[in-house]
Amino acid sequence: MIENLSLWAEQIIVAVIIATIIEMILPNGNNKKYIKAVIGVYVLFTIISPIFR
Amino acid sequence: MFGSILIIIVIHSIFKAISDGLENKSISQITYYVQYILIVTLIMSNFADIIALAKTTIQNLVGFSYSLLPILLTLMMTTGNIVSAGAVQPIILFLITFIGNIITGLLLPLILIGTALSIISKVSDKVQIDKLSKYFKSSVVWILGVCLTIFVGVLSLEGTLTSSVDGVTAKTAKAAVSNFIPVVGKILGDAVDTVIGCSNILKNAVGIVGVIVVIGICVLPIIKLTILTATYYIAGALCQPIADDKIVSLLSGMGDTFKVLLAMLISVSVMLVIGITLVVKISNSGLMYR
Repeated sequence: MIENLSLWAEQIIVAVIIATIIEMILPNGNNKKYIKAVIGVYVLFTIISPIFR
Repeated sequence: MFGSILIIIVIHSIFKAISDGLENKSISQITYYVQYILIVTLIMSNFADIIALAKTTIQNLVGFSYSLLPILLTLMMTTGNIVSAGAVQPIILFLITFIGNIITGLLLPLILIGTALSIISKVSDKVQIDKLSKYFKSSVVWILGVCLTIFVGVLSLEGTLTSSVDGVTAKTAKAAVSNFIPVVGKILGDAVDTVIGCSNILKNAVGIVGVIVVIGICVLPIIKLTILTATYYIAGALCQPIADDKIVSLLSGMGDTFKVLLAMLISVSVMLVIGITLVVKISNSGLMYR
């Protein structure tokens, strides 16, 4: 149980780091806010992924 | 260590003022990341030591109670509290093992996960997951409270139920010795009383020594953790005028983590102290029936 939990936390951490990096290298364009929304959904799904398993 | 964190924060605030003048946002962001990585490295180097310290202290406390409680319960039997000792021993040993395992196996990893999440959530402005780490920390506190309540509740309930039975048993033993042994029965009856009283004194002494040893095991880690908690909060308070909000909340989040660890250590030691004194108290109240 603890292994699964720490795996889950690891996935969240990786997701947040990826989101931060994408946000950093994103060009200042028109689509920026949409991409941010998509990143937010990605992090959200990583957080609630144990429910779907 | 806190001096170096403060120096990093001051340097970063100077850099930030310069790079804001350059009108290039990404440079100030990169300086923020560098500062963040440096501070987190400093914090982590001592956090690992503290986690190991808390774990070994809790294991020492549980191990000590393994060696103390059988002695205490044997002395309890010699004072005539056979029913209490028989009823309390399995329950108290089971509960202490259970709670020790829960703390080292479940609560410490939960604290680690919560700390990792709270550190990672301060990296970026947009993606914030602090509430998740707060959830982990508060669930740790809740589980701890429930464990402690169960321990104290079960122990005091068992004690009050069985000690009156034991009081009657001790009285019967004395009456049997003085009535059924001819001639010297009366003297022997008093001797039984003396033996019970003496082993009671012995048991109280062992109980007191146990309490002192429990306090001796946990006092240094508790002082250390208290100082660390206070210094993290003070560092957060000192940095607030010059640093980012995120750094301040990182420092106070680490303070929260140490506070939860402190609560864990204190509750284990209080649990053991209460357990030992209750065991002593139960058999004393059994003696009052004589």
